[in-house]
Amino acid sequence: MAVPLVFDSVVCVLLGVSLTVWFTLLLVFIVTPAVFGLSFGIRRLYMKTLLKVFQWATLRIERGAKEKNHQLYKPYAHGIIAKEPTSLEEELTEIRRSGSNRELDVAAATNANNEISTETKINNDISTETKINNDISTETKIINEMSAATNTNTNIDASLTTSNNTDISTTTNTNNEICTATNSNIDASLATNTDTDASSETNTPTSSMATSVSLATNCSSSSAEFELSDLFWFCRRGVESIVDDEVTKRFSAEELETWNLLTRSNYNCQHLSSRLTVLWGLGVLIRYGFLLPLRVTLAFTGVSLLVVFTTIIGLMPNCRAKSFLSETVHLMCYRICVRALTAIITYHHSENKPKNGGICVANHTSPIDVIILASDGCYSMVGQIHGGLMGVIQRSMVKAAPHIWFERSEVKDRHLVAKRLSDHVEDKTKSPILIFPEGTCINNTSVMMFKKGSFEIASTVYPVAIKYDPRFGDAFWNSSKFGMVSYLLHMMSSWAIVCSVWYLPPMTRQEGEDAVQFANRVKAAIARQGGLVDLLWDGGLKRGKVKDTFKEEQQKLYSKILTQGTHTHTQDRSRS
Amino acid sequence: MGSRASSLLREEDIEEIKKETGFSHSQITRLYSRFHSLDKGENGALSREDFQRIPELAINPLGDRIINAFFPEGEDQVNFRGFMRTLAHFRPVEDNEKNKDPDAGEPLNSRNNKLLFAFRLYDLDRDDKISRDELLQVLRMMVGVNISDEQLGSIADRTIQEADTNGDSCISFSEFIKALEKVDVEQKMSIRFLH
Repeated sequence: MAVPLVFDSVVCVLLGVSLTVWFTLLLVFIVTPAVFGLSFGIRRLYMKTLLKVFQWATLRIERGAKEKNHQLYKPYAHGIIAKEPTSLEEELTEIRRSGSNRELDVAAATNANNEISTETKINNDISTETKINNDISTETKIINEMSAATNTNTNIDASLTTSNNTDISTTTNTNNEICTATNSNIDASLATNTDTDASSETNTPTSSMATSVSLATNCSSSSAEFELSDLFWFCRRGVESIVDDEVTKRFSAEELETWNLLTRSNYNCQHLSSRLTVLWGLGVLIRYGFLLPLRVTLAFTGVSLLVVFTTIIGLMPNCRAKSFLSETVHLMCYRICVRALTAIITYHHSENKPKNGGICVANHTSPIDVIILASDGCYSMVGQIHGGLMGVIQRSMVKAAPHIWFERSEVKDRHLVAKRLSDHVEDKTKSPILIFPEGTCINNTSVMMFKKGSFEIASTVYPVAIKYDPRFGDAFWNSSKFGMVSYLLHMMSSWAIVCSVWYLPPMTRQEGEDAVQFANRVKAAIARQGGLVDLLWDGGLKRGKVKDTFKEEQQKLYSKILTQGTHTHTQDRSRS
Repeated sequence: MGSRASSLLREEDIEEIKKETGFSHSQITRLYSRFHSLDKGENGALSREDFQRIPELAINPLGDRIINAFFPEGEDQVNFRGFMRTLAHFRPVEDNEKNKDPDAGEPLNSRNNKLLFAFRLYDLDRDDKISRDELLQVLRMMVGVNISDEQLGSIADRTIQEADTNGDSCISFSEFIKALEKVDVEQKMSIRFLH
């Protein structure tokens, strides 16, 4: 009877001792440095060791696959396809030029050029002159670019073989001047030349055409015709986007080149050797058995300290001491959370850190971004009030520091939001606002459209670029696949979160720049610094459909080319 | 991304697809991963909605016609084989095919088959002729609301007039081929797949 009791008490003592040791270690190695913002350097050593292990693991997989003579799945680091960069107008002009080798039925399909079309119909059987015309077209291309009208004369004279040389040269001179003045294209000169090439009777029509050309200001009549082959460009672009498009791959986790011993990022499961499986098993044990409980404990400590201290501070009257204390408490708790995730962060250019009265904008990959930024400076958060634990944290935080939380109904009211933000910004004693203009989480390979709301407020913008190193753990929150809890579980059972934060120099809106252009300028700066792809697409496409206006843009462009000629510029939507 | 996707594709399947389409092993596994990532319902087949979720395709004026080309007559789902078969039309034409099988028939990416693919984009009712109506409808898709009906009608008339040789005011496939004989179809309808 006594033995179980003794056993029980021994177990209790052991438990007590280990817990005490545990908490002391916690206090010494993690909490105290967190309070003072120091570091022992343990995490960096850990990081280096892990990298070596990963490289070894990947080599083993490759060797194993080669032995079995299997093909490895390699993530498409260089893309599945090489996309043709030609734009719609380039391709159509090319088709027109090569297609005009056939009978020159250059009947224009425009109503502006009706006069020209009647003229050109007469000149339909110019098959013999086709070769000449093509030579001319190449010449005139260069000439149009140089916009040297004088050269045109000599070149055309040289290549023409009709007897109406002089007449033609003079008329073509006029026509070409018109053409260069109105900025039209090759085919324009082609059209005019064909007309002049015909028999002498065209002299008069030519001159009338010259006038009509100047009136219409679009000299191109030959390209204003639909070709059955126009379809090819749309078709190819469509299939290219089916195989590899710029947008959908931003909403799922990035693929890695080396394997980092996490099942979730392994594509070659069947090639694991036994040694590797053992290593992987060890990894699982370490991560779930040791790291995860440690991190969860720390997270709880951090969050509860935050709630408790901010509530206490909230009871104080407004004074300098209060703001100082609240800043310290916030920083301390965020630093504990950072250690709870084993986040190894490198801050660059801290001299550009956001100052009071400014707005800090950053690219958004996960909710952890907030913790990462807030552990190095004090910010006022902006967001919607949630229910549950999140709501409790939010409500206590706002007691100590001026965060901006909105009710769900208020979020839709753009004016209210803008007003509260500008009021906050004008008060220079309040900490800078932290905003993520993308509005949703993107997978850290690109930066998507910035919503213009935060750029309409008149103040300095401090851009910040955050780039995660995906080898140690993927920080991207795929909210359509994982909920918050499983996301946090993933985070806490990864090896580490390694990231770099760059503080970019402040930017302000310039004269004559509207909010959208300013937003794009800031986005480009962030993308450049972080090595991310700069996209014009809206992050909202994760869930919503693309607007019809973009399709209408494409249709409009094509119609313009059909009716006026190819002197408009396309905007490639995949790059800004 | 498909973390286990590549392991769902069996080696025998890969070999069959290789023979039928001419894609290499690594291209097939990569394209399978892409297929898997488009397949939000995870049922091994793509529906029209899955395609329309691609923004760049949704804004393409001919997006719906291209999506339709993947689905066989009357079906609403396309599996991986069908997906690859359609994509195979866009492989570049190589002069020396590695596995030149004499009784394999014409490869899917021959000039003729590429033209057939394009022809089918115009031929809405799949009756092997492009009628004036069908041409008008496709034209309307490409230009939107920016060109008037009369103008579009005259464009369609002119196109048919040029191409139609037997006077039935429709474009048959052979007339289509003739009309496009000078166009570099092999280059325009090819996508450079990387290895």
